[in-house]
Amino acid sequence: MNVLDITELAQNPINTGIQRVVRALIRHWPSEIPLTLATFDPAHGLVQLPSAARMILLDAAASAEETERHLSAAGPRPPVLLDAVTRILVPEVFYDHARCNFYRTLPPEQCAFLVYDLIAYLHPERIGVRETAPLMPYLRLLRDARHRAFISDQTRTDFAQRINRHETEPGPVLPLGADGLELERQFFAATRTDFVCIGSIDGRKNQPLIIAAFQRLWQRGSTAHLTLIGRAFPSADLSALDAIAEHPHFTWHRSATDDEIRSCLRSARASLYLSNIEGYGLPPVESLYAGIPVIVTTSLPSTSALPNRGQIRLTTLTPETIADAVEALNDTPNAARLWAEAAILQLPGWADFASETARWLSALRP
Amino acid sequence: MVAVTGVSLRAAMLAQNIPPDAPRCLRRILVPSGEDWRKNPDIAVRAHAASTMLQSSAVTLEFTGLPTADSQTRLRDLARSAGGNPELLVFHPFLDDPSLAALYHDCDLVVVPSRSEGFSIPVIEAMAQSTPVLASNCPAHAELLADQHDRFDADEPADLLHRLKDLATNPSLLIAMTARAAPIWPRFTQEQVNARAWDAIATLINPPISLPSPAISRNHRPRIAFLSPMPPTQSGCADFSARTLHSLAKRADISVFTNTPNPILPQQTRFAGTPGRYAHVSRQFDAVIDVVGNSHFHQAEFDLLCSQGAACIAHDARMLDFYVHRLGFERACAQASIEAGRAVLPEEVERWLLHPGELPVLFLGEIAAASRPLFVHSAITARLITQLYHSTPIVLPFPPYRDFTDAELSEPARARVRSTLGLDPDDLIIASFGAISPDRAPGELIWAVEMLRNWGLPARLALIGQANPGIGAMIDQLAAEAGISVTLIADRDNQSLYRDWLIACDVAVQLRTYGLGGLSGALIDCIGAGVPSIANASLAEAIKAPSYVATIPDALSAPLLAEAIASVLEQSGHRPRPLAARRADLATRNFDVYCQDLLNGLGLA
Repeated sequence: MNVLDITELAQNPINTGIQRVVRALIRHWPSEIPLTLATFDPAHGLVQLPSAARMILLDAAASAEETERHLSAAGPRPPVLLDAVTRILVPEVFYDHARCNFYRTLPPEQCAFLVYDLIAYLHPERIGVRETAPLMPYLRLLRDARHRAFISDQTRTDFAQRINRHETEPGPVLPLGADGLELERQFFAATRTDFVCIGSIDGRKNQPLIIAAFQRLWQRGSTAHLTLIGRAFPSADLSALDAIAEHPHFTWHRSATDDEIRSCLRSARASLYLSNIEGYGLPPVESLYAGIPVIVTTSLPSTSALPNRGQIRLTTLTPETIADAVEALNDTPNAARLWAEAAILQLPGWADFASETARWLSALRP
Repeated sequence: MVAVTGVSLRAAMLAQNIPPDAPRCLRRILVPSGEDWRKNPDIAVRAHAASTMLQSSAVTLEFTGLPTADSQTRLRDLARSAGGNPELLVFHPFLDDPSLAALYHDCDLVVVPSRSEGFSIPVIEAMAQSTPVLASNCPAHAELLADQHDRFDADEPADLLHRLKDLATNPSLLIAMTARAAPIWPRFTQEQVNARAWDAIATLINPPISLPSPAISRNHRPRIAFLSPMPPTQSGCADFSARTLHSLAKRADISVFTNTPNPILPQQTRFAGTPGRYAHVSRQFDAVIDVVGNSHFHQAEFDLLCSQGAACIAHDARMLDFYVHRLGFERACAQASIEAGRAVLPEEVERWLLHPGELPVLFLGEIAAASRPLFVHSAITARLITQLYHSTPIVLPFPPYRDFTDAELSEPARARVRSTLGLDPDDLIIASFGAISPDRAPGELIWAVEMLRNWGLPARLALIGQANPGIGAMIDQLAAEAGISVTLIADRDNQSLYRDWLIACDVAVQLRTYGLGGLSGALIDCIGAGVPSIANASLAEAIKAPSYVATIPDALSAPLLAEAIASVLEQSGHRPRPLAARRADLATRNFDVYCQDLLNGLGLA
């Protein structure tokens, strides 16, 4: 039996990035491989969710209260029978010590974990973590697990070299799906002038540098249009955005639906994603999936494992290097070449991710 | 010589439990006045009468100091002729202090329209009751109310009318005015005014410290009054003062004033009595040094410093605990409000006690104002004091006060100590010294050691220092959760054991969960003993740590700490102490240098 422990999603569905992955896993799980959805109950261990839970939990628009009400009404939750052939996949990040301790009591060969990133441990200052001690039982669980998979090679390398430090095989990389935006294939036209930058303004994605680059370009007479899409964190310094708020070649969407994002990308010449520290970085691969070239940081986990096609990768981030990359894409023959490269990239979709995950889990030997 | 003291508030006029930022709207306006033409009540009546908004809202205009029927009738007539309702004028002819304070408190705005004032007591009286003040532009008011939004033209009713309309339509302006006033009125408590007066007198009696002292001029040793807790008081400050005086006594004649019963004083210093004003006003001394720290041992030194002024060695980067536990919660809230420039609520102070990293102020404002000069031990603290209090402290690098010889730290000697302590020669001893408490991040240490052991290193954790009751159980629980054992030695009196662990350990880790420029005497001990150490970045910066102190980010992480420890172990080959680097560091970090810098700062070198 394959069990998916989705406690966080069931108890607190708030549409985090991880919950987006978990939902995709449920939605695209191959029908030929049986799957039981379960949650952790401190009193009873893993308990089975009723079959209706699948539909309830896939409704991303439902509030946490609605989800809880519907799940409560959906039926009883019997304990999961943990026999010798049960395999449990935990695709969530959790710091609940009781849940961590529960998994430490299970035979390690029966448990598998999906590892997203190690930013909280290796770059705590970048995401506001002040102390890691409360988070360590979860990291130990990952470290001591028999079976793990990683969403990026970078996370796997960090794990192997900085957390595990043992010679054991850390586990496979299962890249996330690039087709979540459901944007139809785009084609190059010289009339496309928009550069779209998707991502929250959280101090990691270097929007001020991007703005400085475009200010230089505009001073030189460029008509390249910059569109920022993303909410600002309360701590974000918005002075750079305020300085160009009224510029005719600048637009900022503080929040945008998927429809609005698709609309922006339909006029995009390229997208930019220049994050220093990222667990994965879905926006650029979603852009590439639709055939739109990207300007990215060399170290971005989602693109660094791909063939270097349709991408301008920046090792050094300065207004000059970013402006040079934008100018390279403003050059029509060059842009056409990058568009052609992006068009032939083979990127996995969510169905591929779910399928690979299901096959990996099924192949584990309890 | 001219000294400006200001006028002090009468005791009855001080605020009593007033919620400073309680929402206000304009219902009652008070005009402190008098029969003297300079008081200019007419402008307030004209502006009030001309405001349709104030009139239709029945906002009252209330006066003190106008007891005569003639004055009251004249102003009512003036209000009527200006289009206002004379019934909205209220007169309070004679009030005692408690009634006057209550009136200030109950009114929503105080308007002081005087054309001329020597000082303007009503302005500070109203401020002390947390009532916003709008005053005329006369020089005395401009001196008290620096922000021009708090003033108006005394001869221009339209200006006052405009201000009153703004305040009536936007009550948040009233809160802002109260916040601006919060740091002003405490300068006029009786203690503060007395201190300024005595300062001026003392300056006349004793020449300013920047001038050559009489002793120096006569080529004699300087004479210094030193006020501090001393051993056997169980305090790091007491120990530090003893060690400082040991060196300072080589260069100066020291009279020690201390409340410590049966104090243990260094040789060549003399006990001069308990701390009192004598030291501060006597011509006998070339300098007076008050030593203050964030504990109850420093009450007398703090009081004397604030009332008399003196040179001050401030040991701690914050004085929150002293204010709360020694001066009381109300005083702490009041001081926090002054330093923050806004009303600080008691629950904020309670939170800061638990999470000192969130402190927006240091509670060093009074000390900074009273100190001439102020000595601190951390460049970070000095920077924060300059930012917060516009004072420029002198930074004295904190020297270690436990001395070790190279021979004591040699490998054979260390092996003997390790054997005495029963340590396995192959174990890697990771030690943390000093107070054992949650703000030293024991959880990060424990999990880092857990990781090191998982990586195959025979790491053992030892916590050596002082612990409050209950901390042992917390450490045991953390250790059990991580599955490691921890050696906990909480025996403050056993200095020999503390030294032995400094000699025996392989790596020391000293962490703080907050910055603020706080120092770690324990990290200084480690530096003095040449222990390869790891500290979080702000702690290392505050101490100007030498190269054998590695750093991790202030955002603490057990994996990063484990990496840093592993890296230190790899670099140092596990055992030998960096004795040459230690010698180089101690050449500039010692009490002789400290005392020379202290004398330089006092102008006594």
